[in-house]
Amino acid sequence: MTSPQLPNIILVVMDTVGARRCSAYGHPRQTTPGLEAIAREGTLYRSCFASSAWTIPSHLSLFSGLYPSELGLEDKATRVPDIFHTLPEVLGLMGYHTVGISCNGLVGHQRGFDVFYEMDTPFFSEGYHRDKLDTKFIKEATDKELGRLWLFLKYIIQKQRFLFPIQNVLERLYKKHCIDLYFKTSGATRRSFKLAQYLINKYQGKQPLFLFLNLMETHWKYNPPPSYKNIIDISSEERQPLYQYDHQDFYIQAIPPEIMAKIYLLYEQSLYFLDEQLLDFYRILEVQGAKDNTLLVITSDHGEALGEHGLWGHIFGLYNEILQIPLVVKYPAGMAAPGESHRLAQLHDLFATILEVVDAPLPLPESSRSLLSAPREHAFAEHYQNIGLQAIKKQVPDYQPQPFMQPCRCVIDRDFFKLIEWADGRLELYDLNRDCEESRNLGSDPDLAPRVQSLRQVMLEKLGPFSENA
Amino acid sequence: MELKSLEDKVKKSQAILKEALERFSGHIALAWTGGKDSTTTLHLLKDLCGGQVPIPVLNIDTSVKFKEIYEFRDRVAQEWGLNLIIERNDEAIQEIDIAADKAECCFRLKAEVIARAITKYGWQALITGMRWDEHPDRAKDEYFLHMETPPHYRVQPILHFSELDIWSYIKSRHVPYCSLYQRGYRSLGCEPCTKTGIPGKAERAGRDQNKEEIMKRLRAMGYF
Repeated sequence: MTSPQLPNIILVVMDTVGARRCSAYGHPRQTTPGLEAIAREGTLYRSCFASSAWTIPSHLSLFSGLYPSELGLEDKATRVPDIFHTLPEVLGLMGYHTVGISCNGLVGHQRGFDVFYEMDTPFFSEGYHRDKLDTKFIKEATDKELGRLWLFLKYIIQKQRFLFPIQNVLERLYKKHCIDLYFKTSGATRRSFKLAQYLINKYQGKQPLFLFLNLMETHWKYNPPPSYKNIIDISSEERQPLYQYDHQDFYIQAIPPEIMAKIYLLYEQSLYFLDEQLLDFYRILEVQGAKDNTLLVITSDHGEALGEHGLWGHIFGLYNEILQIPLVVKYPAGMAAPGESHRLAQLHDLFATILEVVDAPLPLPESSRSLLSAPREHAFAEHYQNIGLQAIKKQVPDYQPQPFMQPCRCVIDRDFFKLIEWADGRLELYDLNRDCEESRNLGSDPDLAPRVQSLRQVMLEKLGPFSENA
Repeated sequence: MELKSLEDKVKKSQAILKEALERFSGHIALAWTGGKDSTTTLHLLKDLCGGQVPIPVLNIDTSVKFKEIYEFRDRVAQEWGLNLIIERNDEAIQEIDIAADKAECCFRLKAEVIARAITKYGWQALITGMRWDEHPDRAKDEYFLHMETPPHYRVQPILHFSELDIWSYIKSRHVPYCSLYQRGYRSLGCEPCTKTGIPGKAERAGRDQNKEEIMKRLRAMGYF
């Protein structure tokens, strides 16, 4: 496939959207009518699982096609290590213009993006954001401040980007005083789709475009526009008492149940708003004539516990409210018939799928299985970095951790049996076909002992001993 | 001539290889690491010579490569009937703290071994799998590059290949490659400097950054 024939690729990550919150996946309230409409023209994958419980490992897995432990991520790692390919890098080699748009401060530039917009910015020119990328690594080039200043000035003069330093100062002020992406999500979501629309228009017919979007609408602090009130009618003022809490507070203090009930509904309202924006964007693709030659992927990096298993957020455990994510793929015209798929799928299968769609000659990582090829036998997920407990202990240093606060990992087989292994050696087995809520641990059922053993062995072979990872 | 297609590039590479075989007949070898680039170079030569590799193939064994690379090397050497010469610096392996000083490690375990092998076998030229787009320091390299220590030519027939060309060639010709590439690796170095896997136990930024910084100096010493 030559560059002009390659389809546009638009990868939308709805940060923190669990499959079970979506009406497209059976939620009783109409939270995602837009996703349902898009799914009617594409493929809805019923059983897709993230490879981790939180943003960074999940995104790096998506960008590399590898599991977090294969990437060997350190605590502060936010990028795919240089030794591995990244999705934008491969697409760049294939002739794509690669653009990232992120509303999540934890999802930053990855190797291979030509331009990366962090949405806490008042500037949207590609030139400005390219300058930001080009100068990003100056601080790592030398320890000396004068040396860094010299390199910066050299860049400005050589490239004749005299406005850049002024814009950069203004942006810093804007970030400090005017914007909080964890709070002002709806504005960032709208701007992201507008920017995406502009870029599609700009590159249409000129160069294939890879567009990655991360949207934070459903990430705490859930804050949909107050005009959206079909699920919960709550004014901006009434929301303020809710925002004093954070995920870790749920485990430290007793948050009144009526507050939590409002918080949970606000999550769903945020999802509804996001879904509507998504559908608008999809319709614009059609109007722009870009739909048929576009691979559109709508998914998430992980879900969110809203009270299930005694949890709120996505800082502990790998239960399905956190692990199972929506995945809708609208393939370019003629590539796949619309419908539903019940195959076992994972977020990072998108790496192999996209490489297959663009016919990239590189070997596909074994851990990533193209959705256009035979289904995978097992899905795995890992949660070793105990970010939740660290946050709690910052507030309460002598906090006694609860069992679900331990690092854990899991494997799911094609019969949808799921084995969770905790750091202290506990095992939990669930039959997701009969018990998708994971309410009945079958780990001690003697009839299922062989399955526990076999799943444990599969996990050991794939991920290695627990002690080496945790 | 502008090299537009993969086939143009293959022809150009094989023309360089042909010239090298004629110029340095009987005094030339090919350096093969087991990575995708040198395996492509090896295959281009094999293809040019009717399915046989007519010259010695030098493999530098640092003793700390991934086991998958050793397995791949031995399998291909057998299947392709290679005259494989494996050289290593046993003295240095005993003496140095592997990967502690990257420059010293690469020099003693690679550059020094290459230089010794060239002298030992009387080679006038060594074919390698360098590419222009691999590193800025390589961007101005020539197909026939004269080296001083020891005096010999580096023949670099795939300089004009991009990374994508390499994989297109491998895919189109069904060239075997090391299984590590199916685990997401972009390039294969020695295990201690190509770390991954266990959080908190080791530095893991892929190929060691310090090593890239001293690449220029190492190349002058004969490292490729």
